[in-house]
Amino acid sequence: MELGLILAIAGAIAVTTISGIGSAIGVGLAGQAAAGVLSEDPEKFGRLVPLIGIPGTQGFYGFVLGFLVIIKVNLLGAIKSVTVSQGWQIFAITFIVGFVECISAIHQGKVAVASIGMLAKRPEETGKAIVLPVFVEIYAVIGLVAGFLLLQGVKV
Amino acid sequence: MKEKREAKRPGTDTRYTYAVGRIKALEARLISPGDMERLLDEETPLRSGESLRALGEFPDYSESIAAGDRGVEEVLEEQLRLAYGLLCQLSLGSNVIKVLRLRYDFHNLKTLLKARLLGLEPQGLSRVGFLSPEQMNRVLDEKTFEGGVDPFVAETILLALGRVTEGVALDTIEAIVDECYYETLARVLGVNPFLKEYARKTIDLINLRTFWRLQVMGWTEERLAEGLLPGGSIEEAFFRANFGTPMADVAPKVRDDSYRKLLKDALHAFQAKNDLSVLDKLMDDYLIEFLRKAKSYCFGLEPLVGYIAAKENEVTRLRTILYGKERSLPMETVRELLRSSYA
Repeated sequence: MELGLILAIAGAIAVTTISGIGSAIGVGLAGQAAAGVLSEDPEKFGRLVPLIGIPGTQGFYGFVLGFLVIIKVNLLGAIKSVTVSQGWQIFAITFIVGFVECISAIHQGKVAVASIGMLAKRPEETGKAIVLPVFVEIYAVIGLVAGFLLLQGVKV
Repeated sequence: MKEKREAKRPGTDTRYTYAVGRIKALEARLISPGDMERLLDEETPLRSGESLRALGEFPDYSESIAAGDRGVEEVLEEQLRLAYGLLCQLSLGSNVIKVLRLRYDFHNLKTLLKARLLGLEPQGLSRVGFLSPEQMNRVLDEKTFEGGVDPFVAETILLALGRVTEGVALDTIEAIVDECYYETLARVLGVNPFLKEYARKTIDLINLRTFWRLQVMGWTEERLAEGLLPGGSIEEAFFRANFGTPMADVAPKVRDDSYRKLLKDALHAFQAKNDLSVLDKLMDDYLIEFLRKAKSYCFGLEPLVGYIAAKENEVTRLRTILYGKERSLPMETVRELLRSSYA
């Protein structure tokens, strides 16, 4: 297997893994806070679910970008030839995007915890509580879109 | 390692995320200032038994009332005991909540030691601490603990007992036990910047109160050295240098602006009524105002400490209103005694 292809596959693994780690931490934080609220007030489950799940989207974005790399090099069929330079380009794009997704997932988890605290006290403010973590989501989406566009620029 | 992690910036320790979520839900159940006001505004004075009925309107308290034949004080104490029990579990072995609960054990310890010395029946014992008054009595007799007592609790109580030597004067017991407790409080809370500040402010305010009380009571400077607690930001030298100076002249010399304001307000009330009890209320209000910042933290032990202070604040407010009404005190008097609300 040529070095370029190895770098491209390493990039796909990196973006999926790093984003996944961030999402796991973010969802973990939100899940713990939600479990605390639900111990006292189980009726809030429906309102809390979106807040627990929202930091999980970054892991999904990382997986999408990793999948795009797999498609790009046609890993599941007749594998395309990838030069070392192209391999580095793919690796750099995916690694940096993975990093952005990871950081945004952790911070989104923290905002979700704050929103869960707000919802515990003011259930009538569910809309506002959900909007706050969405602001962090914007940067995760920007990371995904930027990664997608940059990958299109790498001609394999 | 544990202490190192707790020394992080305030409100950043993610180990207590579950606990904080639970606390936020519990905070929503605290009695609102509006409900407290309604209870205060009810015009008729409460007769015996009616206080319990008034208390039963609040869900958490009605559960305690329904659980057995209890008086108001027992119900209030049970609420605190339940809150401390839950927070001790949620604080994952940290000594922070334990040291706050130990205050009640130390209160019993002082009361029992003094009662033994005087040969009187102890009065005003609390059941909020780790040990019941009966257990504490046995500890005083045997100087050992039965199984199942938290090692930190046992160690701290034995430390205090070790300092109360044979033949110690009655007046000195309180100073020795308090010194031991506040030393432990400052050490345990010292691992977290926010809680360290809370401990420091608590000790400063107690020292200011001791300084003022001793002057009002006309005690000597030797008693001042005995009564001052270690761990505050106002040095002993300041108190010594100003002992004998009227409080109105000492207050402007205190460096901290917030203490100066508190002392100014207390001086106004003292000059009007010649009563120092308002200082206790102002101190409690000051500390609850400081702890209210913990509400904005989403992580760490700070919200747990904030919640227990809120529960104590709620119980104190209820006690003031209910006992005030039982004794038919004028509403203005009850309002003056009423602490600021945390909720």
